[in-house]
Amino acid sequence: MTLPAPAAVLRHGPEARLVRAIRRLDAAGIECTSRGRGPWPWPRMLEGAAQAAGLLLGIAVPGAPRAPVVAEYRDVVLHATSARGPLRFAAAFERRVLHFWRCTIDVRDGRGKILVRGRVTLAPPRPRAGA
Amino acid sequence: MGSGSFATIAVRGGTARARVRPSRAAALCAGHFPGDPFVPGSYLAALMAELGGRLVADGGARPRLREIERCVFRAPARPTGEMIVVARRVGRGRVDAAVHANAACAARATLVFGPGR
Repeated sequence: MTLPAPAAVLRHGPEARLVRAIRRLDAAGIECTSRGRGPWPWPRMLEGAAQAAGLLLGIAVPGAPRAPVVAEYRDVVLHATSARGPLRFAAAFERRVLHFWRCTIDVRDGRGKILVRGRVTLAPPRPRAGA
Repeated sequence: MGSGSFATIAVRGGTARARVRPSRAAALCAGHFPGDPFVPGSYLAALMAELGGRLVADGGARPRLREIERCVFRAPARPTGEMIVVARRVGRGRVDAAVHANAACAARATLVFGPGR
């Protein structure tokens, strides 16, 4: 299976896109490499993980929206509030509830140490007012 | 008097209210998304944590965000118009917060802080 470039799937402009490439996509979920080496304050780490979850849904989960938005974060534990260096963003599909898709997410540093772990719920994008 | 992300901050007892600097709101939306800008959820959580941390600071020590118990996003927080963050201390190290943007509640969160290192 040829994996698409994240830029081809995500709606994010280059300033906001934090995932560089898909390193792994299989039944266990997705793992992506980060764009750049930081610095990575925790909001950027969390956003990167959410982008990985969005890619997972857009590429590999049947019936899921291609460009979902974040509806909720839950049980997010910050093992570090900032980091430097290349990161790995991972996500795994957990379950669907109505029109929401929940994934587990985690962020690890180059040595595999957990930095952030939690859950993100994604939803279809809202139509823009006037669109 | 403002600080960091906020143009004005008012703290009274266990509650705080702040207005986000318009330039800050615009910067947080960069690339998210082209032609349809709104603040990413994690950065809304960060605004709530930035304000909420002021309510749980103990003896001047800067607290550290440990956990986002839950953060729900109800409406897009667009950079046009006023963006207000409110926070309320609800227990030791625990804060409930919300972001209001464009006259709507954009996000609500329960955050847990611990001592900084």
